[in-house]
Amino acid sequence: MSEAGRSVLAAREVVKKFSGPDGSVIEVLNGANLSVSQGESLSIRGESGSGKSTFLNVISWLDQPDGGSVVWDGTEVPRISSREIARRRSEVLGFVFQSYCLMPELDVLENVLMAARVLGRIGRPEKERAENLLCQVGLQDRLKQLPGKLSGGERQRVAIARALINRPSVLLADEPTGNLDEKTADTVMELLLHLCRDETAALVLVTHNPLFAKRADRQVTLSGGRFNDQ
Amino acid sequence: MVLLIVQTVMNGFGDKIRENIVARDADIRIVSNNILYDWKDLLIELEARDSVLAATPYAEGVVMMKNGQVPFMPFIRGIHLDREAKVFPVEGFLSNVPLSELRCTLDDLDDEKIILGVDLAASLQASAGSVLEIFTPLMLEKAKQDEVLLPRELELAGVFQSGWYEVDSNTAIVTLRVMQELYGLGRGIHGIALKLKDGVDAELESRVLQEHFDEKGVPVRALSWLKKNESFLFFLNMEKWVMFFIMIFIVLVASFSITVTLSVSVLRKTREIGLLAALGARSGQVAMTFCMQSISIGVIGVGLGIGGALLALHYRNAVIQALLGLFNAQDSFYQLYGFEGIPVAYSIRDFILVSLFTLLLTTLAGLLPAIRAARLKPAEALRSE
Repeated sequence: MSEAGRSVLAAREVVKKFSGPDGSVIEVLNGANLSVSQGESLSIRGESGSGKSTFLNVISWLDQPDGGSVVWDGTEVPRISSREIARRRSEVLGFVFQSYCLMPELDVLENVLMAARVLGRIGRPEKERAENLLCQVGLQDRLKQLPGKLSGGERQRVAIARALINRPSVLLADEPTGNLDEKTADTVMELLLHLCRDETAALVLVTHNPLFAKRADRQVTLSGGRFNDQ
Repeated sequence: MVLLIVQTVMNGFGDKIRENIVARDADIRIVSNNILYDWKDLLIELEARDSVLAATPYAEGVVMMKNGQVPFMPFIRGIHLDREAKVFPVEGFLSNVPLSELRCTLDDLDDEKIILGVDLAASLQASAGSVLEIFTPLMLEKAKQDEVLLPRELELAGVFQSGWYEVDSNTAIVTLRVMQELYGLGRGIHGIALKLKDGVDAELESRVLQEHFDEKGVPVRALSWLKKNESFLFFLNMEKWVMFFIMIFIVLVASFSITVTLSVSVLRKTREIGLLAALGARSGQVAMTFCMQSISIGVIGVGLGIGGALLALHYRNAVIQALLGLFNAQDSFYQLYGFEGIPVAYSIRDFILVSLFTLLLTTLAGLLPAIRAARLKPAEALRSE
């Protein structure tokens, strides 16, 4: 398999069920299969409540599936220890959330560096990379600002820089433009796709916006707990 | 802080009371269950010991005393005029008296005179030259035989002030001869008080003396000041630990507050906890974050507590003066404790013990929220508003 075609993230027959308020079982994911190759961008669309965010949680092992398996960069997740899962998660995956999820007490640079610090990387190279990433997202003058002083678009750009600091193989973006106005959303989306290409990181993008979805190399729809390739 | 203040003040009280006991009492008393008649040889033998600085015979007991129509039942002590001052700081007690007309020396004491504790004299309303009537238990025996009950009359020579309220309010001093007469001791005494040379351990020496007496078959007991005041010193020490026990609850309440604060913090930071998990933090790392928070609170709290305690202890007398002034209670306070101001004794052992104990409690207080944070499901945490 060529480097470009190597699968960096795969979900095989993933099942996820939840209990409903009346005690009934809701099967959100019902044997979902998906594979993402290195450097590939993939958009996931689907109706509200179709399980898009649940799928991202399951493939990142933030939520454990009730069936099936997940493979990160060749490593079958259920076969490794929880300690190893935590380490591999920070190495393989990067996250961009709709609500940014920045630490309000930390400045912009510290927020980006935090992802590296979790892995115990606290040296000069990490700081330089963080500064470089923040420069690429256009926040080179805001390094010491607290998130509260930033606009929504700026916060999301910090979140993108944080997601890329550990050079992940895959970036999982859950409605990254959901809280932004149209123009800012467009800028952020362009930045996200551009940086992922530069870093040769795969992008899994959950979005409601059909225009943004079409910018990805591949588009899938989640419906009835399964993916239908478009 | 409160724990440290209590412990340091209690140490100070203990040390001061011990100092007072040592200063006002003999190092060792040789006592017998019976009257000691052949005491002169024993006295010479004791004085000849390397460890003994001085020795003095004494007799003591309770009498009924009257000044006019004012009666009292004080403790009376018969002393050897030439020897007493070598063992007890009696000269100092006599010169301590603020009223010059009631001041006297041991030279003023003879077989017709009596010296009273300053508070006892006040209770009896006795002044210089007052003639006091003394009734003893021996007189009761005479009364039973229908003999005429005549009190022994003694003129007040002066008063003494030891600074120890219990002594000053309840003790009278007469010559040994008068006491022998009052108690019908003949030439006998009740005991011999010893002053040891500097550096000699009273407890150890008393054991050596006891072994010596036992070997020789002398029916006396050697009691060190520690043994004599054993119960009192035990209760003093016990009081310190009871206070410590009570104060623990203050620390427990503070620890509970830390638990509540950190629990609220876990709730408020639920999403951040989810983020940490998404970034690759292990449950242990999340728990450690909150544990470190509680440990930091503990370390800062201990630091501030030690600082605050040292400051409060430094200004303790000014604070207590102000408080006593508010309640107009200075006199009763000093009468009760027998010394001015609040004594303190800084114990590094207590400081370390209290600091470690507080750190342990605050760390434990942080454990519950830390475990709760570690157990949060990352996906649910990220979804939280």
